[in-house]
Amino acid sequence: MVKSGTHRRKKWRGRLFILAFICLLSYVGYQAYPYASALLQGQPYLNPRAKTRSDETYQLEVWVKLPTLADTKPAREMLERSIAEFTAGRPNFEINITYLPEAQAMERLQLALQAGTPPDLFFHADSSQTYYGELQIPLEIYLGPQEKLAWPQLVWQQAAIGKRVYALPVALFPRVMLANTELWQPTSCNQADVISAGWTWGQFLQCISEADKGTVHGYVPTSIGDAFFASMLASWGQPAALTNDGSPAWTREHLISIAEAWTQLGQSGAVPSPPASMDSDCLNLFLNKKAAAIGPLNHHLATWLWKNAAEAGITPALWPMPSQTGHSDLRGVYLAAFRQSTYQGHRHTKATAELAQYLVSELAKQMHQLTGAVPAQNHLLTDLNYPFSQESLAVYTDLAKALPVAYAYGPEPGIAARHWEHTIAPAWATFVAGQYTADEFAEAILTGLVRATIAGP
Amino acid sequence: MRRRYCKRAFFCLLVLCFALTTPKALANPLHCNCPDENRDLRLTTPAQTGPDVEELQTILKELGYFSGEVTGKFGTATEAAVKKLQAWLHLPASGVFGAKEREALTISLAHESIGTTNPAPPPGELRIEIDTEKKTLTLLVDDQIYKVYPCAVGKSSTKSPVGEWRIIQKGTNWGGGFGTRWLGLNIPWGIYGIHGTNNPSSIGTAASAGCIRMQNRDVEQLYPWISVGTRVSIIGPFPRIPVTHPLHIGQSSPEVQMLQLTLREAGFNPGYTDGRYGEDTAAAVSRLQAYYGLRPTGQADYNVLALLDLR
Repeated sequence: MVKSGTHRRKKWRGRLFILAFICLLSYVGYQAYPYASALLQGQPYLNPRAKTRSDETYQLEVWVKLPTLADTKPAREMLERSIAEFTAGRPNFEINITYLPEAQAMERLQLALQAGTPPDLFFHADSSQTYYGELQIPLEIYLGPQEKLAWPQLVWQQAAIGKRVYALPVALFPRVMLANTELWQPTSCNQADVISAGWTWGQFLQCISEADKGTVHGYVPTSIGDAFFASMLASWGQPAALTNDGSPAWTREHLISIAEAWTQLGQSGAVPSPPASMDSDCLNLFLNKKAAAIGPLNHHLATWLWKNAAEAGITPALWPMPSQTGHSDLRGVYLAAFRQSTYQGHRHTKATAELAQYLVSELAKQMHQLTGAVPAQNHLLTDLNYPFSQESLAVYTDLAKALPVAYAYGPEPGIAARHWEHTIAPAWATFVAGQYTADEFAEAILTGLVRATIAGP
Repeated sequence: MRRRYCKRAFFCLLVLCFALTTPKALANPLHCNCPDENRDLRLTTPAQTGPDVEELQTILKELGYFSGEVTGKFGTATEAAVKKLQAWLHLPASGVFGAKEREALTISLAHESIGTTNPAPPPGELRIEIDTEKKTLTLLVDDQIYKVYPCAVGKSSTKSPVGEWRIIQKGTNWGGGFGTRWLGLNIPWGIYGIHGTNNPSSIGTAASAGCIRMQNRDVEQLYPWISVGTRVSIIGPFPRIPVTHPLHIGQSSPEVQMLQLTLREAGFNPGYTDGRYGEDTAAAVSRLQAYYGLRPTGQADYNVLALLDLR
């Protein structure tokens, strides 16, 4: 009996030891997994649990392209005040801001990335690209689940690349249309329904035909150029020309359907003719009550036209642009963080992430005050300064309807903008001038994109 | 060489003092013991003597026309030297040193002094800024103030053209109201420039037909420093001009300048506000159009005029 009891105890001890060993192995594996996974993917491991230390100095470089304004001094002062407030509580942070001229911003970033000396943080107020490849720090790993909820789900998705968010959304620029409520009274749709459920291009064409009355045009486009094309691309749900690997994101069918929709608009009779110059006096047509609706309006034009319409005795109302997907056209700008070629340690990266998390809200508030952009975070949407009526404000700030895809992908920084300039805009201009058929237009864009991706634009 | 210039400058100063103090002395004889200090100096019998003759001989000697001793006595050698001086001054060789000779010599030596002792401006880019409210012309070197001159500007009915211009022409001795020097500006809708005057009392007032008037001595000082192409900014209130028609590349007019000034105010730098619709202005218009999401044509169409509140 005694022998048997000893044997059993030994047996249990052995089992317990094996169990403890398995637990230990699992724990070590769990802890080592992110490190091993990063190494296997050829990336330096980032430790999101790293903490900054008060006895260490963190020198951070921030590059900013301020918004295009008549006077950028207030923008500089606001930003510097925010940075000063941040460093007041963290005397060991030394932050250097470099302001970039618009023409050089992307080029300088590209050169810096090539040289391995990018800034720690980069913000382009007018046009941002979310993804610069693995040269970026996936800032999302430093945020807890509650912190991620600060952004509406679709805004967060617009910034997401795969499962990661590499650049934090700062603000969004809506593209809307403006209606003269006395002249714009379509029977087939109303503002409340359109706000809640959206409207398709077909419904839009129907409504502008209904609003077209003799000397009053149903609709006048603000541009027959690539701004309108960009709006249509968002309406069709795929604003970016390229995917992250550099292949075209648009299909032939996609482009042909957009081209056909444009042709229908030109032939609708509700817009000024000839189509090649239907945008030439759009603002005066609307302000002189000779057009029932106007669009697309970017954030600058929406605010300007609202004020001027009110002064001209018009009761304006903002409507979303038509959308085939039910989403609104809201383009985000982002704050991106970059890895340095000389790795400066987990705590330096953590310091960058801390600054990014603080700056993203500050920049959003400044962008709203200075340009009329919509702050990207939920808690900043409560006290907004717009001249719009309640319903129109709902249209303008409807972040819950943001497109869940990025507006600018690109295999390298700035290349998306160059593709647009060299391939897309010229093809669209040729098409609206009547020199391309829809097929030829689609062919020109797809061929141009493939060629440009291989050889550079 | 330097010593010679110094000497010339000294004599120039001497002559200027001589010219300036003489009428004063005549007006107030209590200050001068010599009752005939402004007399004509000539060969007479007996020969004229006095400090004025001594002074003349000193000047003639310094200028190289008189090689004898300075005695204070007007002799034949002095007369010969005066004749040589008259030839240099383009005056009839009478041998008499009178009021004409005194004046011509003063002016010539003053010019000589500008050419020789005027310090050259420090090396750097020169720029002129004219403030139509303060009525000053400021010479800037590398954007630092080098010298400020008083000037006269256009009357309220013929205002000086505010904007950014360039010197395109240089000329001397236009005479009359233009004074001794002319620096023409590239203003497309009229002939405007910076010049001297025959009415020095108008300096510091709004008196001209749009040109910038300076004292002759000031414009003479400025003249050699300024080359064709030098930038000239005329600053001041700009009268608002309504722009009723679209503007296109290639046009030159005050309306184009109005467009340029308004573009600049709105933060879209059109380059020089010189009233010429060139590439820079077109680029600024394109940026404005893109900013508002309009088609960036570079032409100031009705939409652009409306956005800039120019109509």
